[in-house]
Amino acid sequence: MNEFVAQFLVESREHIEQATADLLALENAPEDRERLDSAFRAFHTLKGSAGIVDFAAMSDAVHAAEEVLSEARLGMRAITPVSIGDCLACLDQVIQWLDAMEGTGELPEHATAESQAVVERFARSAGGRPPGAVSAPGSMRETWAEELRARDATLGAKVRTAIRYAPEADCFYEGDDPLARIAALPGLLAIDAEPASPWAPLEELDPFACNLVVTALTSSSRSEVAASMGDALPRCDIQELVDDDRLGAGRSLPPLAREILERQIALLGETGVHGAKGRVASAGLVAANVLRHLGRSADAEQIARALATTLAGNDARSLREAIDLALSEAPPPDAAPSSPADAQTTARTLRVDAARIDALVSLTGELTVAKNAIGHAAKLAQESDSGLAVLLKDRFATLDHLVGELQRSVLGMRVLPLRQAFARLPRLLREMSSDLKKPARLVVEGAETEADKAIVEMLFEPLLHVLRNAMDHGVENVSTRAAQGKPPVATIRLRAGRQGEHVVVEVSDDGAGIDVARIRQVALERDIIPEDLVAAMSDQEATNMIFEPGFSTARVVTGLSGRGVGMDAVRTSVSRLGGQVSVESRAGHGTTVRFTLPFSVMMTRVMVVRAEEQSFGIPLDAVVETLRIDADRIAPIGAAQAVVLRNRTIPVVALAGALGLTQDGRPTAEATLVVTKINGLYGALRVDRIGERMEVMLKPLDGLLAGMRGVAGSTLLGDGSVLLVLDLGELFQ
Amino acid sequence: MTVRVVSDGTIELAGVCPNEDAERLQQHLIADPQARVDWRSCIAAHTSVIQILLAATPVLHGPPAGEFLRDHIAPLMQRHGCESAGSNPPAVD
Repeated sequence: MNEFVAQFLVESREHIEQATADLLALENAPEDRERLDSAFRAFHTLKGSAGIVDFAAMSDAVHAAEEVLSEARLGMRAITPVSIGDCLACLDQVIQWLDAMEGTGELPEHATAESQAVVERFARSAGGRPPGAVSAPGSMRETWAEELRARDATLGAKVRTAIRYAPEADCFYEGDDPLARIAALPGLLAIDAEPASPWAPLEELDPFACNLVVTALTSSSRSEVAASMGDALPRCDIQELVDDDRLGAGRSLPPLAREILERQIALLGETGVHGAKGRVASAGLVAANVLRHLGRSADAEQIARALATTLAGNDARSLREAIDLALSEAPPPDAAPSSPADAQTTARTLRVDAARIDALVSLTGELTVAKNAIGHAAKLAQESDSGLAVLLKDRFATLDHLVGELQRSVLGMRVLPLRQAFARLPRLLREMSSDLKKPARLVVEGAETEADKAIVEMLFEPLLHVLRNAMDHGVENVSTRAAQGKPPVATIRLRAGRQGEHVVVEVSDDGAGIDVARIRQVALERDIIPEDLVAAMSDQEATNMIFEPGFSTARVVTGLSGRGVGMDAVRTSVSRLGGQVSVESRAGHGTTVRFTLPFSVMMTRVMVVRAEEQSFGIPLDAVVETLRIDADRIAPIGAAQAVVLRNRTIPVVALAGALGLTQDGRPTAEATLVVTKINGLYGALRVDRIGERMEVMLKPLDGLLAGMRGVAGSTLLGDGSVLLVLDLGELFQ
Repeated sequence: MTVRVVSDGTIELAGVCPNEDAERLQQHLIADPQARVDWRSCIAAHTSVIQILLAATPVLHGPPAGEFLRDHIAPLMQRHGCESAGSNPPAVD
């Protein structure tokens, strides 16, 4: 694939993700200026990128959406669920195109017709108003905030947020005191007030009608100001002012630069003149150079790209818009920060091919092996009692420390925020919610929690499964909810956080909870678990049966879920990466599915056990205790074996037998057991001997061994031998 | 009484002036458009009261007692009074 196209695909997906998040946020808060700006920028940049790869159909489709947002920014139209739906549909189409391009490297075949359909959809929603009837956005930033700031130069860098508050005329009747609200703003620096409409002569002035528009500057953040205004917020326009000094690079333009840029726009306006192409090229170059001179290289690049688009398409529109955007002093579209907080971090990030990071990770793994070999050598030297041993041990400790550091920072490079896995979920929930006619909202917490790239990428599918289950089986329909006194709109919480070496992700709903009796019944009907075991199961254990293969309690198979392939697939993909999934449910109150995942996939703490003279590793996370008991305390139950420990019956698996090393194992008077807990279930592994504990770099089995049952992966030991690390979940099944 | 006319015709605002004071202040200012307003003992005033002052732009005798009035409203009054030179302040663009 051509390098441009590859870059285009990566970037476009990022912008789509940003735009989707912004649109969904706008649906909840149509007045959110920041989100609107951000969505606009994302669409604008998408359009620009499409131009670079000569994808005119995509440019057109995205332009239609951009127009809608542009008009909203100018206050010419409101953001409605319909317009949001249109914009999302546009993104859907773009995603399909990108997917097609990913496969072929070529522009999709029927894009023109599909693009036309998108454009027509926007036209229909606009009530027959042709798209693009409104010209390209001008400088959209309202000037009141800047004017207010300009009035008092001494405030300088302290100013952070500007607010414009237009109280309702009859607010005095409601006991409201608008200026008192302003007075209470945190970090208030300056205020101004103007009559909303010209003052009537004093004799005719209605003293009970508020005729003021109040503006103010504060040193507090936008959100603090918004919180302080409380229920008056809908009457407010709040703008966060980005200060030059604080950002260093200088977002606001010096007057001369501004003048030059504005002149280029004027130049571009003169179309149809002889030599127009040369004029466009020079305008673009001048604008890019001005911005580059100011250190705004991202903006300059944006303009250079727009220039390429313009020259290819013979339409000055995109160049004009790019210059406009630079003039509007918004952060550059490439950064497209979702909140002001990341505005400063995005510039520090570097896009590196994941394969290079993986190579580093792999090298670090080799280094760890080499380090362990020195450890082994030190031990040998100690046994032969030479003076070298002390030295070796000392050096080994240093190396151990350094390699550990290196490993942590290398693994840290593979870390991504979970936001990437979460990003598409609100959108999908919105769809499920309308398909099932069950109103629901998704509350996301801790999306910035970080985890290894492999974990983040794996997590999306399982989360989607769980979300579907929650909507399909968990959340009741509106009438049932009403009858139970629950709010009509269901709440699904997606919560992530770091717990020590683990990342925990929870999906909880406020639905009906899992019907345990029905689960027991289904388990019996389908012969999944023997009858006596079902009866002996606690409710929690019974609930856990939803993770068994072929288990589905839905009475009706819907398009969403209920085909019985859900939860066991979830468990499989999670455990493949060393994670666990558990479920908690309270009848009538809802269900919580909890994923406990390792922070990094690579490092696993294992305990070495021996069976039939072979060593195996057991993930230490799963080990509850180790103990020696009289062998005759292990009692046969049917074909299996079990032991009673602390009033709990625990199934016993002989490791040698389970791995096919021996048929029956040698009879011994004493048995060494490793008690483990996997997915909430206890099990004991009978081994010959228990060895050391170590931290290893786990490599998944590949090639011929890939399908080997009961083995999670392998690692190299210090003496060069291979240690197989067991997958306990599979062993106990 | 937080709004009253003292001996020399000066209108005095004192303490915390509630919403209802706006109408009284307005009546006093209509009765004597040249009256000075003394707000030195005014701690706070409802928006409606400040609105009357903004509309009528009387000569103010200050500074007011309240911090918000002194730091923010007094400069605002001055701006409006000076800029409009006794007439009504200009409307918002």
